[in-house]
Amino acid sequence: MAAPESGDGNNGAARMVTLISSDNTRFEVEAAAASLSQTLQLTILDGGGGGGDGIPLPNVDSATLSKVLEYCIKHAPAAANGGAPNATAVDRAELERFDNEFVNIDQSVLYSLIMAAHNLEIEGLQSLVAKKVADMIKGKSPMEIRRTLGFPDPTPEEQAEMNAHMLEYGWAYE
Amino acid sequence: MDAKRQRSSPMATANAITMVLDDDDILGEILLRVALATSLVRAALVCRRWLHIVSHPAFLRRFCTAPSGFVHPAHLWNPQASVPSGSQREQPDYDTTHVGELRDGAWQSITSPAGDHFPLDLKPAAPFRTVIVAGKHYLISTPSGIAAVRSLAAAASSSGGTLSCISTVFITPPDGMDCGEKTDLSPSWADESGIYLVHVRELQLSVWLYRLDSGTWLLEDTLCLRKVCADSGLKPLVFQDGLSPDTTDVRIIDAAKWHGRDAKFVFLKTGRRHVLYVDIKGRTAEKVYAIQPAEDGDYKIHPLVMIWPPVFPIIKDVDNDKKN
Repeated sequence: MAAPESGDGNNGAARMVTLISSDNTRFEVEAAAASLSQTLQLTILDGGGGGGDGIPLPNVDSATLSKVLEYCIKHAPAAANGGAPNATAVDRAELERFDNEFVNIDQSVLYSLIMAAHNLEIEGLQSLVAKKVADMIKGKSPMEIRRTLGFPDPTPEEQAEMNAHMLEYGWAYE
Repeated sequence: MDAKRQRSSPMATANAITMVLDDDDILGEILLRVALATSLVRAALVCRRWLHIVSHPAFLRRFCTAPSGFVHPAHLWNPQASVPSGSQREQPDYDTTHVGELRDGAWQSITSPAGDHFPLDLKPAAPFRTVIVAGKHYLISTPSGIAAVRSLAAAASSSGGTLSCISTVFITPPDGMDCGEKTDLSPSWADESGIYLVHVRELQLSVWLYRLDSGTWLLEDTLCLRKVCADSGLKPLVFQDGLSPDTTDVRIIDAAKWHGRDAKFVFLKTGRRHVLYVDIKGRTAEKVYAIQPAEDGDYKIHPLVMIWPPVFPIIKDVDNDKKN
């Protein structure tokens, strides 16, 4: 199977869990990484996901899940340090570089990630992807925002409302 | 149990956008991170649902305290967004002061009394600067001094005509202040009773306060820009290629009343064509903009302080509750 992120499988001490994507791909990851998800954490604490069982994630496809796990594996060590108050500046800079690179992705992948991060309750990832979308919105006019996010064209009523607001909020439309 | 937390239908990439933007929680988390109040107002105008989310008091409270959330005064400056919706202008000339005020879409003219000579020598070519504060006060400065003009706008607008409703005070700069051609005096109102004046000479920045009641100048603060820049990790400022004689765009606004923050700051333009934001109280400096060669010349900066919370459009009809 794909299991692209199980490179540390030879480390006997680390407990592994299996996650199963909506298209039935199995991913084996360290429990510590998967536990970044609040949703999964309890199941894993209860001993789930080990052996041949696997935890099914019917809402996350394999492409998205592999991306999510890439994030979790990278961030797990820092999270294990309790938010890493003793992390060095170099470590923090490396994580920041990783994060910037990580969200430099196609919009459709980004939205899938947002949903997955939300459903799996991975706080850091939620915040990272929300920030990325916010950056796409920042400084844009309402119409540009609609175009950027692929909204349908405004209905006549919406257009009339926008025109009315434009008198008062002209600057915001520039 | 996981399945219960998740949505029932499998999520295809194609509808991910709709799902994300239809979820109020997720959309809220996104909008919380647009960081600037101006961006928030723009987002509010995207559609009704967005307006409902961002104008909610709980959202606004979070926006204010969110880590990426508030508003470094420097970010209030935005060359693209610096057009106020109601604007005013002054046109001083030799004999009288004309103040044109834009009210309800029409210009109203207020003129100073005949014979009440405008105290400054404003030759058409002489550089002067005007400042509008709180809609009623105008400061006009030239190298030789400052005129403080107060218009009594309410009286003028009721009659709609030309009225003698301007009081003008002429203020000479503090003793010992070098007021040569290149000097940049940047006055701003402290409050009803005073005027701040920022003055930059070589790498020394001074903040003076003029009390209108006593008619005296007080040196409030001085600051060595060389030290402030060095402490803030900026390239060292050198007098020759540094500030003077390029200190044309020096501004200070007293934002102490704004949001309970003590945020006196000044924008400077350096010889390297950088725009520096200097926090006078905090003794820090930050490069906020590099002026492109095409933009050079008469470069202006207009710091704006957003009203907080923003004034959002009001939606009049009845189905608000349904939308919520």
